[in-house]
Amino acid sequence: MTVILVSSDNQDFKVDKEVAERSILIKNMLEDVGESDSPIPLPNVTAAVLTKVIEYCEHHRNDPVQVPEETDDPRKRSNDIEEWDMKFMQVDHEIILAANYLDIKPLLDVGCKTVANIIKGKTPEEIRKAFNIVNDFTPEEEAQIKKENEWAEDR
Amino acid sequence: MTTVASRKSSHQTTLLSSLPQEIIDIIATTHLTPQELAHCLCVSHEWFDAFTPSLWRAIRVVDETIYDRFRTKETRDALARNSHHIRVVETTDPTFAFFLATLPSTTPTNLRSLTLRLLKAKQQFAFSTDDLIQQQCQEALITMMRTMISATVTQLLLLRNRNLHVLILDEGCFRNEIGDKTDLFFKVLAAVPSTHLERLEISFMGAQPRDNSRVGATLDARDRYREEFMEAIHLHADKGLFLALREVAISGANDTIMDHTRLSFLVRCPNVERIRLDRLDLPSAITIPLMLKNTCPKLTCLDLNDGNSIRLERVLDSVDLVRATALGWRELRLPDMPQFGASAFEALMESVETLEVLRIEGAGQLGTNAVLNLLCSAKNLRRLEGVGDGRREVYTKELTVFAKSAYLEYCNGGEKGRSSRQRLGRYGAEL
Repeated sequence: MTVILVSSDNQDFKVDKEVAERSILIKNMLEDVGESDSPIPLPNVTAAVLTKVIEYCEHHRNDPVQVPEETDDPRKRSNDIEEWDMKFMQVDHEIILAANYLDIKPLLDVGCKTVANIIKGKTPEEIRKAFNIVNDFTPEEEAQIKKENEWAEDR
Repeated sequence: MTTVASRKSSHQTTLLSSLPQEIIDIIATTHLTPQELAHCLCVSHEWFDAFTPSLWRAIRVVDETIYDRFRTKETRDALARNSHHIRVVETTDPTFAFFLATLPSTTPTNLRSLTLRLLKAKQQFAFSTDDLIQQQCQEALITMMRTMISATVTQLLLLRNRNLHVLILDEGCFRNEIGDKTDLFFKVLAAVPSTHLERLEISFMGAQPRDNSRVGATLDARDRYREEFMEAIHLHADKGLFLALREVAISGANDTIMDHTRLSFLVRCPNVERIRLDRLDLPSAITIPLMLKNTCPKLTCLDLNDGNSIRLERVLDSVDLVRATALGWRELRLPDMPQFGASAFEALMESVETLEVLRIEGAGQLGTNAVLNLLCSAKNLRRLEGVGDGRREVYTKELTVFAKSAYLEYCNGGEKGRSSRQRLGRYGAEL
């Protein structure tokens, strides 16, 4: 069985129901509507992003439902990203936004990990470089923030 | 990962303007450590504002004091200024607990999760002279604080954080270290916020021996223990209920005979579905079946673990225990029980429709292949963690069994059927 998804720029996408249901938002919509052929409008997702999201859902169509990780401690969490997912995420943040809107937890998780991995292990200056950010602190302000947050350093 | 990190592109330039705070929070709290977050705060004003709540969300001061973690006055000032961001606290330091409990009402904490382990806190309170705590309190109060005890601090902290979802306490939170030996468990319990609490863990390790322990804990006193417990249940009649509480874990006092009537508070938790019990002392262990039957009507998951020295099987009636659920077991984990036999197994079969996870470390009186019957009819059973019988060594081994499909294959015969028959047969032999 297939469903038709309509992007914000009015493009139709024909997708297997099973694939579309990786999105909890769409899954719930389908359950509410029942048996129906009417297309599902997704006003917050452009065709370009939807193409990528569907590609992700096709690739992961047979994945088991995600079991939440037990630990609350970021140090113990796995930051591994599958190779396929990693290549896939070399796109912009619109995918993260779409994953959030469509409620596709594994995709949102991969997106967040990707951003976190750019930040990890970097000094503030290196983070600025990675994200092209201008330092708008005075040296005094920056020194004060460093002093106040000294407790957070690993030791 | 390095490839992602090193591959800069223009889309990364607008991280904060393109992502809502909600997603920044997910990135920060689930994937970054405090150290990494501290670096983010230094990046720019915008980043400082976006990452500050996440940096202060969870504070752990474990096996150290507030003065070890927050060494300088700057860090302690920042802690006080940002305390309204704190949602998760884990500490073994009573001074840190006191600090949080006495913050000015302009910057109160609003904790969702609190873990207090004060049993091993040798020194009750440490103060330094430049102290922020002194700024918080009047001189006279400071004198009082020096003699203040962990239980009082625990109560204060509980009374000021009414939105707790998770609470973990140990025996050190229930007593007065200085001078007084009074058991303050029920007083502390009265301060626990009941509205949102979903998970409660208590360790009674290190409990004081109960007053009449000179009588000695023997099996002969079995009936008396049970009577005492039932009487204690009535004391809770007018108390508020923990309606949101779904999960309780209790570690007993092990060798020390503690006041087992403490566990009667479970009668105020009518919606608890899951209980874990570890290292119970003898009177508590004796009253388990009675306790479960009379306190938690929605109980469907039990994880019972043996003490180091008490052999639960000596004091536990396995049939009563297995019958202690009203709705049928979904998950049942039991220790080695040499008395577990046909009637207990019959009681277990009453849960055959609901059972998903089963662990019995040893079932001494159970006949060979008895479990096969269960395997064939428990269609929801998805995990069998190891069941031994009287003739074989107890083993713990994880198996994944899809009983229904295995059974269908078994009935349908054929190539697949034969192999599954062999598989079931092997289980039967091992079990």
